[in-house]
Amino acid sequence: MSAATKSPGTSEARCASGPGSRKPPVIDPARLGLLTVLPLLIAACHVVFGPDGYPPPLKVECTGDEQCGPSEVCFADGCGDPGRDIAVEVTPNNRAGQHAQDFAIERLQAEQDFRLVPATVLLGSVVRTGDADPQTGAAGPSTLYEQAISVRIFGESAIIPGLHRSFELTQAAQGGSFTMSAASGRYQGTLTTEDPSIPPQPITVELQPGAQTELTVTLPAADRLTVIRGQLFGTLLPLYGDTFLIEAFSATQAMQPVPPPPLAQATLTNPVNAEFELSLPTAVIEAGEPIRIRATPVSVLGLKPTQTFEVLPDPATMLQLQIGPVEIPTTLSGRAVDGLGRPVVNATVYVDALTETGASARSASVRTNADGTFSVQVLSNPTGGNGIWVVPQARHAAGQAQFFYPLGRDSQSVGDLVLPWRTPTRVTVVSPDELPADNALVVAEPIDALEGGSLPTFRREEVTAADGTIVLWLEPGIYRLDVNPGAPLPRTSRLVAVGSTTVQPGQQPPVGDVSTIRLNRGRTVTGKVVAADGERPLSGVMVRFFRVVELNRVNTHLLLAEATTDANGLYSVSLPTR
Amino acid sequence: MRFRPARLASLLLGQGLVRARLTGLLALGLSGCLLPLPGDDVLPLPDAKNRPPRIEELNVTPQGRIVSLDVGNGCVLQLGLPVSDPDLEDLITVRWFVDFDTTPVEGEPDDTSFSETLLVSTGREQRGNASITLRTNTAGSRLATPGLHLVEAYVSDGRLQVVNLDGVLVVQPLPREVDADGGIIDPNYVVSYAWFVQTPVGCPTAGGVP
Repeated sequence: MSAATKSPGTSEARCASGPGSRKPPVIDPARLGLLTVLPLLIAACHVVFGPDGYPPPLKVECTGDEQCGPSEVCFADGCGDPGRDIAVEVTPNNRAGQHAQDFAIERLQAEQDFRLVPATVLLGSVVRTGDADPQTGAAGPSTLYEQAISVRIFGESAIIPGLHRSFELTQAAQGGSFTMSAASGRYQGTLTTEDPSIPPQPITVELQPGAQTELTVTLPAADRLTVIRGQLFGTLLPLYGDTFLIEAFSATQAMQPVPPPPLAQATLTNPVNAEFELSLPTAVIEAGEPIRIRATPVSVLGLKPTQTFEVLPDPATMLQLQIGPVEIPTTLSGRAVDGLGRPVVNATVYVDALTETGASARSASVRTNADGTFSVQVLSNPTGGNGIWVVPQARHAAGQAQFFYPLGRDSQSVGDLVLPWRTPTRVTVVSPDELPADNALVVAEPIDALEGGSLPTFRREEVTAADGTIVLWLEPGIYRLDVNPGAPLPRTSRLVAVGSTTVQPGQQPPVGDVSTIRLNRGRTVTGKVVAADGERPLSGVMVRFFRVVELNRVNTHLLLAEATTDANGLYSVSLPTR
Repeated sequence: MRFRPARLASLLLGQGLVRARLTGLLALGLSGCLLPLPGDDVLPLPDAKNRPPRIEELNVTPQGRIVSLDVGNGCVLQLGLPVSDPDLEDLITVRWFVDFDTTPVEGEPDDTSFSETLLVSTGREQRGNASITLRTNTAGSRLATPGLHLVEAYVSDGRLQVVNLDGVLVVQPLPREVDADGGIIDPNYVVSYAWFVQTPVGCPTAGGVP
């Protein structure tokens, strides 16, 4: 039986610059696809790239401070003024509702004090439109909605791009209002009522630091909602005993990468007869356009499929939705081994099934035993696509892979699944004076996938040995390498692309070198954090310094340093300098 | 009557006043010295014992113990755990678990931690944030399955291990110092924090299968 891995194809297209090379080639950024213009640093000559030179040769802005201007520092995004593009997040006390406050630093000083503003608050009121006058047809008067609600908002800082934040609130019946403490930023979200007949209401709000922002959410009138009914079927009969989650979305908006706001509150099917009801805005029915209904199993996860249907909503008709295939589950077994034929223990194994009818199912996850074997219950799916995922633990030298098999109606063994190697990547760290930096913490944070690949699952962290080196076995992907040498030197970051490796059977891959990371010199920045009164020092406040950068034409941030204030409200951090 | 120690010494010792004065001075001087008795060695100060790390709970992010992933946000979850340790040189280890099953399975290895975070010395008690980003669109992501998940962080000032104690898997720190019999002279410590994470239907997954 054959197995095909979904790992990137490989060839001998090696990178052109060797370790220590100062002028790596600059290649047309247009070839980078989604990774365009990532200013990446790599000189990993033993990392073998794909057939088209993929991962694409990378545009390298700088590999060290000496390639930058006299007052510039080599950051992960290229050369830059270490005193500019700095933003600071100051978090007084999340537990007490005193959430993060952001400060843009125009020009970094040796002393940076922060005077906080009062807490940022969202003041909401919830009203419901009254039923229309039957005589005139005019909308009825709005009244405060005093029943139980939940509010969820998510977004990011307005000053530090890419810094995600989310807040939520659930409250019992109150006087038609809610108060939510949050960090400043731009948010969207949803207000959901406990009454399942009222569709979730989208929220968009920008919260200014220290301000009380008012928001009014208007719920639709009861006479502007319409109930539609439906029933799920298996091959011929309703799905007895199983429960499915039913959701409704607009069919005119794409479901990927993010589905549109739901048209109705999600509901569960009746386990006795698989029937369901959805309460939709009447305007959706009147529009005469199809909607999408998604059914997801909740009681039999992985052994019944998830399916999305496009239907014309009609309150006068019971929707008949056939889901499938729905067959008796089968057992799949096998053994995971590495390139030397040794069992890979404790790997996660599961199966993704895509049926011919567009339904999908993911089996439960199991782990490989001490001898590398596994056994998993799966949806029988002889004619569709079935991918067996095998994901070893983070520290293992064997890498993840997806194998494709037809899944018949009988139990079957797929034999040995040979996993590809992760790429052994040596990182060498030296001090600003070119001495080996031992005991420096190296963090490889996956930030993007290579084309045709998947985002690496694991972040890896190790401490450098006495010679300043560490070898990390990494999945192919784009990583940000953060090196934290500890006081008094600052954190230094670089971006690297790690390709897949090709070796002869029975051999381990050779170690590839990322070009040496020379730590930045540090400057000490101190300061004091005081309350809104301008006098009272605040202790235990978390202060985080970021560099605001543009990567891949996307504004984001890099963490430079963090500290917590002492009893006198004082903090001290080490930031890069020349 | 005025007290005169030299005269009293002279009377008691039956000696002349001058010799009594000298004897008194000698006795007075010697009384200030603590002379060790034979075989009674002065013990050194005890070695400093390890002290436990601490999670600064005020600024843990997210603050709520029950967290819902946002489909609109790509179902990305950023967790942050500020950690401090009074022993400035200790290397802090944070082991992250998702849906840690404490029931050992025969023949299966015990350590199923998802990731490990290290916090090096900063010269101060505050070590900064032990942080992790959890996603549903990575292969093998345990958060990818819709439903409720348990994310746990075990913070230690030593290396952590997962051991089988009478049929239950527990996370323990390796001791700092043991005696010849295996008794723990100086322990390492572990503290933990946990979130319940709700994964909604519709989160992106590796391969696109929900």
